[in-house]
Amino acid sequence: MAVTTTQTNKPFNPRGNDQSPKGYNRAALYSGKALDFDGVNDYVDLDGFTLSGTTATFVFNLKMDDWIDNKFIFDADNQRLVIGTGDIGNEIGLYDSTAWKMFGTISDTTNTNNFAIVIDGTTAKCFLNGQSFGTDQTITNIDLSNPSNVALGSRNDGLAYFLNGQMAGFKVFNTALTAAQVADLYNNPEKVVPTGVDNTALKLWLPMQEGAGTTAYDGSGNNLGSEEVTNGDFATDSDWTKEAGWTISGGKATFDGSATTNALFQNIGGVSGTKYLLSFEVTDYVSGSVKAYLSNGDVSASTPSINANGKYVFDITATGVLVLFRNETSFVGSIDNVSVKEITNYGTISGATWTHGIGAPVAQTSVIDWNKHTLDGTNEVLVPQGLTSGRDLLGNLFENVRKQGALNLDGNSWAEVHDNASLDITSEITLEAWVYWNGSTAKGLLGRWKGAGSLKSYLLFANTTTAAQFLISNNGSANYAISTSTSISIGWNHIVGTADGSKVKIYLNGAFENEAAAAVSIYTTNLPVEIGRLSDGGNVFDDQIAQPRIYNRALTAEEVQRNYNAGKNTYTN
Amino acid sequence: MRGNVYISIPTADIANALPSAITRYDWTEVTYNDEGEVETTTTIHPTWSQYGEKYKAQFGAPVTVSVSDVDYTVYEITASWKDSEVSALLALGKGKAAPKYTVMTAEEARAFISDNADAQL
Repeated sequence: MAVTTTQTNKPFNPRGNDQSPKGYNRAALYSGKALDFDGVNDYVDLDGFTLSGTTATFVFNLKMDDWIDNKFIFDADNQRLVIGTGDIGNEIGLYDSTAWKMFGTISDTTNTNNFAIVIDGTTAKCFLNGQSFGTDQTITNIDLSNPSNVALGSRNDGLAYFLNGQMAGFKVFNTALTAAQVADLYNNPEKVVPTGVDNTALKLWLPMQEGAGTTAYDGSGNNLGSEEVTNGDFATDSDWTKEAGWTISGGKATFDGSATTNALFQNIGGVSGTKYLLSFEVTDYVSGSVKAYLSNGDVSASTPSINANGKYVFDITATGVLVLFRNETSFVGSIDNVSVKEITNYGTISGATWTHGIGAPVAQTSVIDWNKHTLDGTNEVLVPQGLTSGRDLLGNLFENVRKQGALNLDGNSWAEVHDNASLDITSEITLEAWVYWNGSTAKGLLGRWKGAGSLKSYLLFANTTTAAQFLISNNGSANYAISTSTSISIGWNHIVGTADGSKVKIYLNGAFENEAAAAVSIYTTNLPVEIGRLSDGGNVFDDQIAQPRIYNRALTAEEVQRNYNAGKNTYTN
Repeated sequence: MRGNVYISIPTADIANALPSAITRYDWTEVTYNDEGEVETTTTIHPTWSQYGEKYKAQFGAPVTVSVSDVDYTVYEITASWKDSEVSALLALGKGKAAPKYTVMTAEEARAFISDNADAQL
């Protein structure tokens, strides 16, 4: 049902600068990503996780494929704490080391639901989608201070009671959230921690948005150990052993391209079997290739061959004490800013597979930097941000990855603004966005446009490799008017479509491009506005969109030019 | 990764190698000398036990259940019909009564494990 607003002559902007009335047009972001547990033998090993005290809140998004008995969502041993479906099934509750205490019945296998289990001493409560759910339970005080085994999706030993469904966004706080804080978290998916709760209360946050690899990374800020490398920035010619061909000078280590397998290394006391985050930069690259190792040369603990400038990040399980760079094929280039830190808190995935499209909203902060790092050496995956320190897993300040304020979409993710009256525009309209054009075709950029069910209204569309379109429909089924841009180059582009009641026009980078006659009333629907896809759920854009705006009037050519000028120095190629 | 079939192996037999027709899970082990140079290279055709440990991250944990006082370990695996890998798995159970060397679907494996899982919470 549409929500009535009184101030509609405002643009919306879902990236932190929402100028619409009271934030009505705030966008929720959907990654659609989750971990899929098959109910046969899949789980995530969380051994090493601890929590002190007798208060806690567990929050997670869950779509169950069945709610039969003994499906475990979380389980820790010693003093046992289990969250699961109980010994009857079609219920959710917890086992408090003495007995199952069930909150209430549930059998929903259609929707992704958000659960919060709040434990405050001997009282346990359940919240479903931000609302109190079922009956509060009296429990034995929890003790997660020193569990031997902890698991998500199975019994704590990973041998039984396997979950059948999809899970994302698993958080553990060391405090009992209030009902208002639970609702705050549910209603504001861009928040990782609700208002009134300190970031340090978040003890575990597995976004489960990586989409690849066998590790679910912790974004709580409790995830990395201290720096293992001395003089990783090569400020001095010391601490490193240089075989022939390697020199340290000018704040970097350089290899001369000779055809040897000589290495540059440092004993960091690496522990075999321990997982480390290795990052470094390659600069001044000319030719050849180099590999990095967390071993004395064992390739099972090495990176792929590197043959280009750039910043590289890998998680590697060490098999030796060294961090070592070895020339592969006459490498000519430099290494800089070497860092090795133990990954201290993470989930090891056993069998659970990455899935897309479950539609669970994800925290806005968790999509800022996704698909940017080749942590497993092959697939680009999300690095969740460390809240406590205000830095991401690589140590980058949040502001650095957010400075352009763009949605960084990957072809499986999108954002949407819920239906409200301010979006039911029938006459004059403007759609505007900065788009990082990558040549993808037939992608939804901004609008309400669903072919099935004849629910077309208005749309900015990436049509061909070089052309964007602005479309409106007068009856929901016909593409009544289309204006097509002439040529778009790869990179950031400012794209604007306007309808003034008689014509539709499209502007590119501040300049008028094309127009078509369109003297009609635009069709209205109850669909949300989609950013980065069509309302059918497909045609998902796979690059960046910034400052998407909808006006209930047609911007003039001068205004379009002004908006372009305002952003052109931010969205630079 | 999700396997396309599941098979229940008598736990007493998990030291046996996978059928020779299934080579996609073989791996190479390399040893190095002090100079970091390759010393030996060995191809491993795994036992069921080795397979379960090596591929746990991709396919999930091998799960052991007890049926009539006989333990069975269920392995998830991807096997090709076209390349006769499924046939090789089926051949293991030829002439034997279920659940000995029984190939199952995910739904069947889910029910088999759930029905016979360790009753201890």
